[in-house]
Amino acid sequence: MEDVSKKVLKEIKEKRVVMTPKWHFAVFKILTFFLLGLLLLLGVFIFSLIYHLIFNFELGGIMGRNFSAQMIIRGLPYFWFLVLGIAIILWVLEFLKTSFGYKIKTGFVVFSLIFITFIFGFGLYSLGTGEILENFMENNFPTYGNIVKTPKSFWLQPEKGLLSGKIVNLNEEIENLTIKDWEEKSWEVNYAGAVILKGVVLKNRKKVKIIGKENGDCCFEAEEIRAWPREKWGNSDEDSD
Amino acid sequence: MLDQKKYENKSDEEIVKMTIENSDYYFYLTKRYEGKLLRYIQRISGVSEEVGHDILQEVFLKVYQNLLSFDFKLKFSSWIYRIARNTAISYWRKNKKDWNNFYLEDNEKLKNSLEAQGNMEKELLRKINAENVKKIMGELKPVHREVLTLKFLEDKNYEEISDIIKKPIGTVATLIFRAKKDFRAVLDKVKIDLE
Repeated sequence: MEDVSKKVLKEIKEKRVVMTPKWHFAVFKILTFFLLGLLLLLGVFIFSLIYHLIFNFELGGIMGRNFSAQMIIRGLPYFWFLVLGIAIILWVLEFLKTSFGYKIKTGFVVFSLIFITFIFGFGLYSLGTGEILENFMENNFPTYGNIVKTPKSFWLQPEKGLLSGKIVNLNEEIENLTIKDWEEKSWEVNYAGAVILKGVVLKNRKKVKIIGKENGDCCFEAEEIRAWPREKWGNSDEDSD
Repeated sequence: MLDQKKYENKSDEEIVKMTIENSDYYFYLTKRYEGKLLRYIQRISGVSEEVGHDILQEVFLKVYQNLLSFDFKLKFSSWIYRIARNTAISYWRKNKKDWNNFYLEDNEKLKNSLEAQGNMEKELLRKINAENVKKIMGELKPVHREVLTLKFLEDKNYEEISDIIKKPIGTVATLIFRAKKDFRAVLDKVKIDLE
């Protein structure tokens, strides 16, 4: 039987095989933890954005309407779910490779990660981070609206009974208002008989969202008017004087 | 050549520290693990002795190159087995040879270990010969074959197996349970053939 030990020792000497220096492993470890930190942060930010999108849809509030279940399903931010899913998978795979990660059950790691990003994501959402990210994406990526159903695009589906925009004219006598939607199209909205929810101020330059029925081109019959959420950052819900 | 007997009582970890200072001491480490690792490599990858030597040489070189990354909180044997396992699996995946090598002398050891565990009937185990054991092991899933090899042939405990295959201890316990069940299922099939 050939002596492998002698062969190995001979090869080490003849080919001057060296031990990889310790700093190599230290750098690799630092990069790994940096990546883990980055992915965790990404997960938290994405969760805050998902909260922002879903809470702005007020999905629970439109149940029972026509097409509501379909709209909810179509309106969910699948793109962000996918990105979040990829970030979570990458994080778990990298974590399990660490010197202590493999000792913990994978299910527990996944659950803990989702729980932490869920909680911290909500925290960031409360601080308005979701809104900042949403605005950043909308302003810097023209195709963003095609991939993700933003609150503005979700609340601008007049054919499905959802309309939103800024009030440009108000006629209280005939209970009619004119709004300009996010695509600068004007709509005549009749709100006689509509429920005006708490917090809504019908005044020029106020942003609102309306649930009702499209009534021909540029006309809308309101059933319910809600206030557009007051933005924590960026533009206020009305132009300043 | 350095005196092997002089360093017989030194622990692996002590020899690692000595190797870091002077690479000549690496000879003692490799000598200690030569036989065990060659058998282990052959058991999990089913390669011939010749190929096993090549893989073993690669393992020893990798171990040497990465010696400064060795974490002394871990057992050296678990660490070197892990490297051997990964290298053997990489080779097996690249070459995808049929698993057809199993040490015939392992037959008795495996049988006795399983019998001692109380999972298999003595009567049944007595009927199987080396060829049957080889057949049974060949029909097991690779992960089951691996944990049975580590537990019953390499005499590793759960913690060591966990460190070698990088899975939680709970998962190791489940794998061994399923491996024995799998072995039993194949054994019942073989029993039918024997009858």
